[in-house]
Amino acid sequence: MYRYWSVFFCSIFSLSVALTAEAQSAPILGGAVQSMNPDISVSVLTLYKQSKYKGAKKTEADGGFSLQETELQLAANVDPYIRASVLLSIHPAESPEASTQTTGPVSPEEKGSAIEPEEVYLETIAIPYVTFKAGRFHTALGRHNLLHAHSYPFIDAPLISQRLLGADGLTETGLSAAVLVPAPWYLEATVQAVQGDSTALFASESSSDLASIYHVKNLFEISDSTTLDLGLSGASGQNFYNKRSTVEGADFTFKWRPVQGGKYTSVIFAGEYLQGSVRGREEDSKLRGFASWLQYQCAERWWVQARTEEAGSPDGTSAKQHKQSALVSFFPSEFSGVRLQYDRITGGGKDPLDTVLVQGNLVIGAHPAHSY
Amino acid sequence: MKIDTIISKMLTQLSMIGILGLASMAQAEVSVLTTVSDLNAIVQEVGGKEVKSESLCKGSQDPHYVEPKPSFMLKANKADLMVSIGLGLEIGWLPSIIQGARNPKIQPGQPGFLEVGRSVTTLEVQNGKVTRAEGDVHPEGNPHITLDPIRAGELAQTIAKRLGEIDPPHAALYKSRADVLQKRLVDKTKGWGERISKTGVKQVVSFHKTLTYFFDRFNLQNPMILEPLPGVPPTAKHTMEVIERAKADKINLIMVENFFDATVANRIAKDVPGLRVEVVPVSVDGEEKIRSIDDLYEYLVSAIEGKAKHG
Repeated sequence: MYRYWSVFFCSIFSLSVALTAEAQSAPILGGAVQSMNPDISVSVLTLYKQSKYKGAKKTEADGGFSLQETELQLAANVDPYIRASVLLSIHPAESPEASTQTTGPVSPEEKGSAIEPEEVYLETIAIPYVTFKAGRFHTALGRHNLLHAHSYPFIDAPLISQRLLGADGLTETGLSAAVLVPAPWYLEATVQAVQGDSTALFASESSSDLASIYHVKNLFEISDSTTLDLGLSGASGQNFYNKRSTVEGADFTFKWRPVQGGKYTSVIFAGEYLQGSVRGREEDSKLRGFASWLQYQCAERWWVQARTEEAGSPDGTSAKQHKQSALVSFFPSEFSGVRLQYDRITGGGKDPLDTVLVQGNLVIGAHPAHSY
Repeated sequence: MKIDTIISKMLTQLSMIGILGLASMAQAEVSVLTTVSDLNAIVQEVGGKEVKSESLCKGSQDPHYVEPKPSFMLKANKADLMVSIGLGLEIGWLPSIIQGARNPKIQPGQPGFLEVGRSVTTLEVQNGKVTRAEGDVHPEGNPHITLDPIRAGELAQTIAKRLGEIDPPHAALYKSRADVLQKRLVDKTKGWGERISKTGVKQVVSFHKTLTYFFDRFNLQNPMILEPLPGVPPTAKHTMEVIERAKADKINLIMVENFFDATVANRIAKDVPGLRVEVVPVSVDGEEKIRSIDDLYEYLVSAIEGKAKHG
């Protein structure tokens, strides 16, 4: 354990040193403020991970240092009617040659990297009450699925999201309409028609089978300091087995940030439930689970967090997994942070698996949007 | 009933609805949303009863770090005009609100989108390449422009002009109200300047560069800020430098904007004889009794005099 804390504190120390160093502000000519260029930013996630089954002598092979993800984001208004966003994700991937190789070590070159269009879409800006979106995007299924890896509340996605929607979540190509319903509170209804390429859920053999996703989001402003967000969502589409896959989700987020002193303290309590059915599939044809987490900002730049999760099949065909996580993070500025997370997964017919992760998170370029 | 009769009836009814709609629009107030409460105070005075206005950021909040709550998007959806400072102040949160608002009227480039920062002369404009190694810098200039009463008068004119374009029947009324506000602030600034010069205070340390325009207007120097770099919390090393400088230059006042923690300032005051700490609101509504832009300047002047009372 000492090793992980030392990686974490070394990271914090180096960030602090970098931050408190006197800045050299010699002006260099150039750098026009006004520009037709899109807003460009790059976010980088670096990861150190070690996991070990209880009683095992060796740690699991998928650990160590890695460049988890580099995300290049470009965004601009195309004209007075449309805004375009392009997000390219560069992450480690095993090449087909490496994955077929069964013996001997795999070199980094063989492992390789993949670059893929995580999100590429156009959205309307000049239509009242509704935003139409076209392209490839994170679908509006549940709450976590809309987030990018660098803004996940914990280093990894909830177990149920990973098992039901796949490691990268449900990202699809298609059309979306998000309507701001005129109501006394914030009420947004989203309907999406997508290709259904997801191998975890759909992947129908006929290209004319589209999948649909719907989402209703309510946000109640209880006071100037407190909000409650309640969401319901679902997805449905034809799958590889020529049957129907369906997903239902419910989520809540309670946030408190005082109007006075809100720079230094805040609390987020959130939860998400997902259940899904991939009819025709032999293994895990039904899955359901939840994740619930508490995030407490204890100082201007420090957060402590805890999460509890459960995932498994309701009919007992695959054993239930339980996961507990604790996280502490330090964000020197809006543009950088380091997080230490400890997980224990129990159940699933295996010995308990302990994992420690240290993640560095930074963004350069255009100012990132504050999240809510 | 024949189809043409049905269509003609429908058209008549639609045109009636249209006429009624236009009539109600003509009577309706202009709905304005401002990013910060100082702009709201100016809009309310210039707009009078012809305008309904609200601020997204509370007076006690740091305007750099506002969360783009969906409830703000709902408010922005109903606005005819969104007034912001610009100059990078709201860059982290306003674009998300405007995108989420689904209101074509307030999109950048439309009459309903007004960034007032560019209508006044800004201080601390960064020429050339700027990097974040310098902290949370604003290349187009320090965005806390409303802290200067003279510039606030100019902002009132900018706002009156735009309100007049959106609501032409009341353009002259908005202009006359802006004139009144501007003249009053010009007159009062003379009095405030005289009061500040009587105090003998020449140098003030602040937490952030929020009061730059106020200090500049009243010939006060701001030799150090408690943040080592803009947006970076105080460090031990930098705090020691502030203590040494305050002792050497006989600085006797630290003003801490009330959304920051005053602990470091109070610790410095213990080490520097004669040094006074004033925790001050820097926006309208920053404290309960700061109801107008005049109240804000009045409070800051009183704080320099050592006569300010919280409440």
